[in-house]
Amino acid sequence: MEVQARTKWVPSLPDEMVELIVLRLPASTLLRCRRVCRQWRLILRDPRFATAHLQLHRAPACCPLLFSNREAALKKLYPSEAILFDEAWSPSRWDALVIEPDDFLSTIKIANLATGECLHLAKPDNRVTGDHYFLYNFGFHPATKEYKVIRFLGGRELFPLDTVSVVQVYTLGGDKWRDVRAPKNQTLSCIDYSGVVNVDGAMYYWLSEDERNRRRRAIVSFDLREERFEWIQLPIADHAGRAYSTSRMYWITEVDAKVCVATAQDSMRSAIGFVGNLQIWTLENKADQSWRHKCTILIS
Amino acid sequence: MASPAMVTLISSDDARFEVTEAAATMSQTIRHMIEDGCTDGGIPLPNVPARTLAKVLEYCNKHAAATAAESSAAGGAAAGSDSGSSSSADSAGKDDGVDLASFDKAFVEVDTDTLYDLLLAANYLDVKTLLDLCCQKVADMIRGKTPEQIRQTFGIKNDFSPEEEEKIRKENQWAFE
Repeated sequence: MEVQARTKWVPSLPDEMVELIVLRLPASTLLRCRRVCRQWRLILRDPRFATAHLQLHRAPACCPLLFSNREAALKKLYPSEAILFDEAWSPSRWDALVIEPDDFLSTIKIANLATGECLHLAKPDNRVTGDHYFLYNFGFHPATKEYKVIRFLGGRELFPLDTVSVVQVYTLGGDKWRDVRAPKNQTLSCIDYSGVVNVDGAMYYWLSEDERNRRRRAIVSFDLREERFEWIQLPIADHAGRAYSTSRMYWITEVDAKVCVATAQDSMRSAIGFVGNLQIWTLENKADQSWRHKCTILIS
Repeated sequence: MASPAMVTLISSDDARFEVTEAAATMSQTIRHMIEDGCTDGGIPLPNVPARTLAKVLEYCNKHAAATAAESSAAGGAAAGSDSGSSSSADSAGKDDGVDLASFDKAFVEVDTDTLYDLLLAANYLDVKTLLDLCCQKVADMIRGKTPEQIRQTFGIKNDFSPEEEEKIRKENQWAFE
């Protein structure tokens, strides 16, 4: 069969049809599409397109994706470890985002992958020597439609992760970082391990409370509108009684737009690090802190 | 049973197609023309060539028939007093759904030129489900491809100047490229 050079797609495919097609693509693909030709680039840079893209991809489930590990494993060139919140994440203008703090520069870069717009945000005063991407987080409140960049500020120079007494907040469109004091010191050793989950205008993360060398795990939520911390009771008793050792492993994630906690018995002998029953709970109601036991998976 | 109402559609190259009104009115454009009473001597579709119109009508016939079968099955189930008849109607409906999905999937397994023609025709005729189907197919073809592969697949000319390319490359550098 004769292979025809198909030259008619562009420019004769009307803009609105190209738009209908690329609207269906995930934000992470859109950057690449901007490099195809002028027509596509113009369409993808149009703020109206970004809005339409958001409306179409407004999913009930929020799914922030931690990109860094997977990309490193693929051995591709990525300039820094970055956090990408994919297109389903937030229903407003900034629908896809990379935060790339750089130890050597004083700015954080934030990109909207749908439009290619970039923001260079000055870092807050560096009161600590260490700085790491996982200290930063990005959240959106659906009611105020405000985007906020959050930075956990370490208390001690050498151990920026050890305790956090202040969270620094930057509202996109604003002009300065504000300090929000945490009501009690938070030990953030779990943040780099399990990350921060964004659900319905609040961030959730694990922390350890240090009570006379007894570590107790808790979940903290940080409401992005009120900028208030709240402690959330765990669905099950935490058995980590021994000093600085845990007998259970915990994870936090998001399932069906709800905060989801998984826990299992810690085990050095198991290749995956845990044994027994993996219990999975979802937070049904934040106000009255009610959890629902979603399922138990037997790990053999 | 009364024979279904038929309409005649005329392609841009003067081919005539006899179709049921149910199939034809999947196109909102044709529906409006029928409502306006512009059907005498056939409905001219000056933007759609016969080859494409035949393909679009294949889609419309299939879907109109499925819709008719579904509504009659639902009607039958409602009329049936015993649970046995309703459950058989349910399962028939489900089979149709699976069948239709695989029909749709196969329907857009075409070369890019045909897909392009279908896109334009679905847009002009305003057959929303077909337009969605074609757009999704093209989007699926774009996914995971490099800009150069996208251009090759769809025969798109790279109209950036070298300076522009360099600028875009720089813009994207620290992001995911």
